Amino acid sequence: VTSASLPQKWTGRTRGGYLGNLLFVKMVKFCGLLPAYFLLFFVSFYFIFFAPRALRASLEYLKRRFGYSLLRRLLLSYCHFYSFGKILLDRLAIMEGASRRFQFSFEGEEHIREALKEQKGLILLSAHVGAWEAAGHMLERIDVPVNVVMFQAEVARIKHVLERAMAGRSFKPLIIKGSFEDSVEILAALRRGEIVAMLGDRATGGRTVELPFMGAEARFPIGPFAVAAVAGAPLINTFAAREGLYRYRLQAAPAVYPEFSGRQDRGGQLRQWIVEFAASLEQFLQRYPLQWHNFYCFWEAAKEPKKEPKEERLNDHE
Amino acid sequence: VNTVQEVIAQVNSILEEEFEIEPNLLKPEASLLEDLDLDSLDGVDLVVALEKAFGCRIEESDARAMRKVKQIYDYLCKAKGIESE
Repeated sequence: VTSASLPQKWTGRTRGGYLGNLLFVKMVKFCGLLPAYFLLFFVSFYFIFFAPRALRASLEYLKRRFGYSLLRRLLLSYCHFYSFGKILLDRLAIMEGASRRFQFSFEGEEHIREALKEQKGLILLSAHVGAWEAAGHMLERIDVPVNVVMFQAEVARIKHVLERAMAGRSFKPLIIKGSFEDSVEILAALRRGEIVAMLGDRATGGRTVELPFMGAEARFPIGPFAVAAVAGAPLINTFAAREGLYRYRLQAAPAVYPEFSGRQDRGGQLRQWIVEFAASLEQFLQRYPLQWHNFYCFWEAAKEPKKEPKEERLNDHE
Repeated sequence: VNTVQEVIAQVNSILEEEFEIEPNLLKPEASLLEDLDLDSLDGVDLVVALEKAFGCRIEESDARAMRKVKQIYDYLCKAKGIESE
């Protein structure tokens, strides 16, 4: 288990600029989603030519997922960006009040309800897949406050989107500032019996573990599992997929109850839990290969220099 | 625990044994973050370990205010009704 610095090449920046975003917002609001998808068909080329880092990340992912030639992957990268854009537009449409047009199916809702009965809170662990707004729409019927853990750089960029998405809902951002008390806030939310939604596929400065993912070593954060184990809270893997036009599906796995069996080999236990999460993410991506929108060089992050390791404290002798 | 010294000894024992902090670093003015190199995950672990050891609940606002070792001693002395020095 190691401490990772923030991914050097990821800034949490949202592309498109004010005017570009405004154009899509107005289009979705006054013309609907289909004309916006049509415009997106052309705009997605922008990323191929003017977003080299995102393109590189997409090509790398597609190489590991499909192993195609560069030319074929370039075409698929375009589809990858287009898929991401469609989900962003769906998000806009849902926020603009068009959620009635969408069909949401929710598999495993009973697992979430069951886990919450214990009043120990619940960590919903997801990844950069699908759209959390769609998942959030389905979580509203659970009627328990949902804390969405976010990296501070993300919040600054999408503050207005967040405010609109969360207005009048039982959603609240739980902002990770990289400070000592970040995890204490998560612990407090769990102790209030609330849901804490976290993403488990991007290391944002905390401790990480390296493990094989799609055939190469990648770095995953240990935070979600470590906090669940210390707090005695259940944890559920959840992924929201776009199934088609106006259709989303949220799948929630049965709850797991991470518990350290002692201070010995905590690193080994964390690794085992995260291996299982990574396997379920891989399984999701087998079915929805273009819905992983983690546009930074995920595998390269594992090659970057590490800060002072914490193996000894965790008795991790991997 | 009934005395300030016992509180200090127990807190230090947790920091030494569970977080492998060198005893010579355990000074009242030591910063948890900078001097003891505890991170956010250690913070939550420490809160739970102290709660178990002292049989009390540490509220979020109190935990957030703990930046130095002395603040832990003082908080736990107060929680146990012991007059700190």
